[in-house]
Amino acid sequence: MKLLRPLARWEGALVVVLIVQVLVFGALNPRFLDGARLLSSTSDFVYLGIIALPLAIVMITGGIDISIGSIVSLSAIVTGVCFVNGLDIWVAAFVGLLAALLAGLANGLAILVTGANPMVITLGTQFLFAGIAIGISGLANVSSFEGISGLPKDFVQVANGKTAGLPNMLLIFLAVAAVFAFLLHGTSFGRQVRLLGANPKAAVYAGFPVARLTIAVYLLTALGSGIAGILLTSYLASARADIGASVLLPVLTLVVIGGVSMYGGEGTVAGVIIATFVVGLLQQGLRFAGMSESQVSVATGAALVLVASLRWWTSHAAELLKNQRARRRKTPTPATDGAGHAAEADVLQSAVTP
Amino acid sequence: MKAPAFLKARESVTIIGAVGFILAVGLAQPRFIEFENLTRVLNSTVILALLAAGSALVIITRNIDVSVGSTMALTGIVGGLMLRDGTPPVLVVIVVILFGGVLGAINGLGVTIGRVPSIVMTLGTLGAYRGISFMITGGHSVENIPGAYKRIGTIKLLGVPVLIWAALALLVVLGLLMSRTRTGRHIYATGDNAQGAHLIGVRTKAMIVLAFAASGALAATAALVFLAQIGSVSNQAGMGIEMRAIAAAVIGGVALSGGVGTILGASVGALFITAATSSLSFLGIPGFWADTVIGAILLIALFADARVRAGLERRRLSARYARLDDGPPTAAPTVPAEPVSNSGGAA
Repeated sequence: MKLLRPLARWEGALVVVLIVQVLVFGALNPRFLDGARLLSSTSDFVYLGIIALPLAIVMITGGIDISIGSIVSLSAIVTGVCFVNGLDIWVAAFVGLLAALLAGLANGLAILVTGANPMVITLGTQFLFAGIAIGISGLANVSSFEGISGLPKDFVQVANGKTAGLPNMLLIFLAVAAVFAFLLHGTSFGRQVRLLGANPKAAVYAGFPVARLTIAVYLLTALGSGIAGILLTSYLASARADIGASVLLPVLTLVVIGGVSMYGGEGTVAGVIIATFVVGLLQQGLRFAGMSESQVSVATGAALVLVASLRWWTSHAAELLKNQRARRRKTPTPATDGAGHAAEADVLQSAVTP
Repeated sequence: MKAPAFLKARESVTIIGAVGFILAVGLAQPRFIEFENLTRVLNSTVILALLAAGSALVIITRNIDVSVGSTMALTGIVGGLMLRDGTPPVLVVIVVILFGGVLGAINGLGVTIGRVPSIVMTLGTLGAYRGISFMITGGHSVENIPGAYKRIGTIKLLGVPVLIWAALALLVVLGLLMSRTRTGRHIYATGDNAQGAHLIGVRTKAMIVLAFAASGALAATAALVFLAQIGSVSNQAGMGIEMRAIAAAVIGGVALSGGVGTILGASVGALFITAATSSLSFLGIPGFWADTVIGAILLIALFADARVRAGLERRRLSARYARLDDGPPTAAPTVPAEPVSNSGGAA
């Protein structure tokens, strides 16, 4: 039983799923196990993890940010338009990041000022930021199909290149992940964020700087989205105003499968990191197994729902088991231990009668 | 006790805003408020209004449904294929609406029995239903809808397309069902206080499944309108419209915290959005600002609502103090009006 204990943790279960996945897909199609191919394929999904990590922190505070996709688009198009207008590409990327941060600040402030549900506020800013992104590209006469291409080679190389044999995207993701792991698990900021989600009232009465924390988490999410937008622009070698339009669903999938509760207070960075690879490799593996893109999206949707449901039911079952065990411990006669499972149904009774 | 007046205030703000907006645009561009253009705006509101009503039903139960766009596409494709293959329209209408109800009920069952948070559940089916419609058509759009069916979209009654009358009737009936029937009140009770409702005998899980099923059926109805108005349907149909539908409901005063809001409000919210986006071309503003305008309206509505609510709360408290002869000293310190904004000074 002791050996199985780590599996009971969500992250442990995810690691098992990851290993099983690699084995199954490897058996179905040996080409899947090609190390170099497997490594380079990570570039197709790790940028989602860069957004999912800060979003996980927002959700740990009990909030949510629907506007991430729009912020991705905004930073990408601001970068592109600045570049077209003669700015150096690196300066342009910096301006793109600034735009993303401004968007995050707007989210945080609006949530604080109205006290409204973060979901509605970011639903509004989702339209607002996407609209501004499209507006900027419209004003700059960018073709919405082609976007802004002709980006410098150095810039395109950032997301497409390799360092020490590893894809840059993967390295950047790991670096970002390390930063967030430290932030959430190694600083008082992380502890405060968790309590803010677990019990907002207690956080206020404990004198936490709730306003500052709220703004900080939305800024972080916007920063992650901005970085992802610029990386995506580099990866695709083109800046488009709708580049982030379909980011929300996969990112939320990562966060939920990573074990972050929708109700706040629960979740780890490790879970989200592993989930990034579980979901990414699941999709790659299904494609390798010959599934079409639409079949993959049906499978991913089903997996998302199944995992979320399993998570509730397993924790519910664990709770029941724990209660049963606690009740059994109360019974004074050691004989019940030997009686084993037969006594289980009647534990309450046996605890009361003697 | 204050709730009914408060509810009315929420919608009246939207109604005043929508009417005021249309009149203001009309002042700048008289052509905008000509009868013909107004019916055109109404005609393009129908789909969004049906979807917004469905979203409102689900939001009132304190859940959310982001799958309505995909549900609309999938039911539309099934309906379009049946029509193309010569199935009698009456049968198609019944089958499509039932199918939509089933798709919605799947969401509801996932939320109640599967215990999946509604946004996760409906995000899952958002992807899945869209994927299934791609699989059915192989990426092609469904064309060649029989002319007899498409004609429904052009029939007029008293100068107004019959589809508008039908949608209006449906929404009015739905609004009455919500406000005047036991089931309707139970849906409100479920969203307002699920545990309390359960304790007084409301079958809260059944109410949630019912609301999701109704949302699916309304999305299917919107798909039928889509088929009649456009005459073809592709996999891309309704992409992203779920967020507009939720925005319309919120603009119309439906609160995401559940238990508050009406079908009327959600429909007016949809009208507001459509009027605003279609006014752009009249005002000489490029169409690509449409999303910005929707976002701005939604945020302004939220800010206004926060103001109104804070004011009401203040008035309620001062009324309570006025009733106490001793005045506030005993009561006031125990009521921190807005704990969050107290600490907001730190930022």
